[in-house]
Amino acid sequence: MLSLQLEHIMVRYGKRIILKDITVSFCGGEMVAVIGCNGAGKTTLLKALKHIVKYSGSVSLTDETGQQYPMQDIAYVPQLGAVETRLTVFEIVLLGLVRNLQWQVTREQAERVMAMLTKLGLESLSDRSIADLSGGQKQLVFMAQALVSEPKVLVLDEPTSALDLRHQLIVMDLARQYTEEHQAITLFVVHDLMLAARYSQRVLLLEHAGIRMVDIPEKVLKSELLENVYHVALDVERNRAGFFNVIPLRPI
Amino acid sequence: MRKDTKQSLTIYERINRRRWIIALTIIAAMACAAIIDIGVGSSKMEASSVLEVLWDGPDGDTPNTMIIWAIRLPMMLTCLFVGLCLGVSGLQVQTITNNPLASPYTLGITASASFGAAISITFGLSIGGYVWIGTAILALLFSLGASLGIFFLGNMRGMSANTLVFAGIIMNFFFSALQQYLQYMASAEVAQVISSWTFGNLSRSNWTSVTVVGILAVIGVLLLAQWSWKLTALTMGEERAISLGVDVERLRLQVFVVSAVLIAGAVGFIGTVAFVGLVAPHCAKLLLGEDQRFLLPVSGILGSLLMLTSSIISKLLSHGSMLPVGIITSIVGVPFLFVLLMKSRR
Repeated sequence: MLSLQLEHIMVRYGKRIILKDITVSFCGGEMVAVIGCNGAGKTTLLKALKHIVKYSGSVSLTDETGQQYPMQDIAYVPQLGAVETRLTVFEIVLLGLVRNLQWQVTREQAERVMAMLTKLGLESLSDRSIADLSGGQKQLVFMAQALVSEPKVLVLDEPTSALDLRHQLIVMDLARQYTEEHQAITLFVVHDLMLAARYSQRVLLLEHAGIRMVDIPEKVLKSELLENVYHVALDVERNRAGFFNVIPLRPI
Repeated sequence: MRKDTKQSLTIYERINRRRWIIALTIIAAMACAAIIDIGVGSSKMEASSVLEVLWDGPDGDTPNTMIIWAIRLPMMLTCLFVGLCLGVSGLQVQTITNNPLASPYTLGITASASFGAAISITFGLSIGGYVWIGTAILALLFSLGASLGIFFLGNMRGMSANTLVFAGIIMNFFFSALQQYLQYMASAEVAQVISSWTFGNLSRSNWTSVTVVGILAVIGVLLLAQWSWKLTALTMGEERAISLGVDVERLRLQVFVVSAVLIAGAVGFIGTVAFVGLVAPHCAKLLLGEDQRFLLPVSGILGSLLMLTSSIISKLLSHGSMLPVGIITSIVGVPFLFVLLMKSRR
């Protein structure tokens, strides 16, 4: 089984410590929600996995025989911000294969891109500029870009921010489907605690640059613990469908 | 699903076919402009006689052989290669700074080359008895030095696109001030020569400038072409490019150095030429999108086309003599840029 191990990860910006002594491991087929207050180090943790920020400590990706996978097998989807490029949807997804692209795009590469676009229902947009799409469509295109290279680990930074409810569910369902089908590992940062609980097998709660708790949603989404971390009075309950509802009441 | 995939692949092939048609049309327009440019001058020649002289080669016996092979052809080819260098380097400066307003001119690389040339002119530096070689080499050295200075200044602050632009603006002010100081201190005659150098004048062209700028242009384009996909990825933003496995810092350094050499080669021989490095990439993007496999060569060819058009206009306006082409590129470039601005707002 696939395994991602983080050992003693530490990130500093100058003298400021952003992450300290993060040691945790994840296994194939698992979706893990990373939650915590603003500034807790959630995004930095994801960026460290992709070497976008410098860190000390070690990250290793191995299978059950101990064989190491290259870090390129980790795909990172940054938070959806302003997209200024005029690249078409097809080209954006094609760039997911950038490490293997030669001058001429091969038939196999083009078909792989189209198969991914078709799977996500984006084929009709393939010749449209990404800049002309809605936020939800853009996020799906960037998910397609990440998935087209069939990564072992999918790392999503606030994949549902700025999306309407329908697109939130579409994007998260897609991540879950990929994780199950490929027995991959998906880490996602999310502020919506209900989505965190609904789509994860485990929740990683960060506080003051370190791990406060990592466990199944039932154990992390306790009102006392969350009130203590978020400084907000809240109710945690389960609805009729069995999903967690986290209702913030007032700041403490 | 199979049918959808096939249909959409056809769409992608159609986009690329359209790009090929546009690129070939621009190449044809450039070839026409090149023939017209050779024909225009104090003694006007028909396109057919230009082609005839070119076909006969430099040993032909027509009266125009000497005019074309010794004067007009090297001037046209220098103009073409300078435009190519400026169009390509302008595109890459915009790509690596992620700033559509960046150009060799706004980043101060041109100003540093000008200052190098001004030093050479002021102190009469000659290499092998030729002043123009000294001028070109100092322009090249200063633009390389300034480019590295911009890069390392930017690097100290984490090499973001904004710090790169900011470092470039500092360089621009610094070298412009130094050049003004040189001009202020120099004799009236020397100040006049420096001033005329900054206009960008094709009359300094010869077969050496064709060879040097041509070789630089070809090598530069080939080097940049191998990074086409990475540069295309960079148009999505630094973080997304890194997330796809592109070593953005290394790519920026490589592209910056190649662009600086191209700019130095371009301005070292004929002087400062504004607007080409800004306008040509914008036109190319508007026509072709952001795929650098098409954008890179077409930015260069549009740069050549703009330079050749300016050269033709400058010769027509001055009735036989030649206005500095740098003045015309700005005048021709303004309406180009205005139309682009209007189109992009729509």
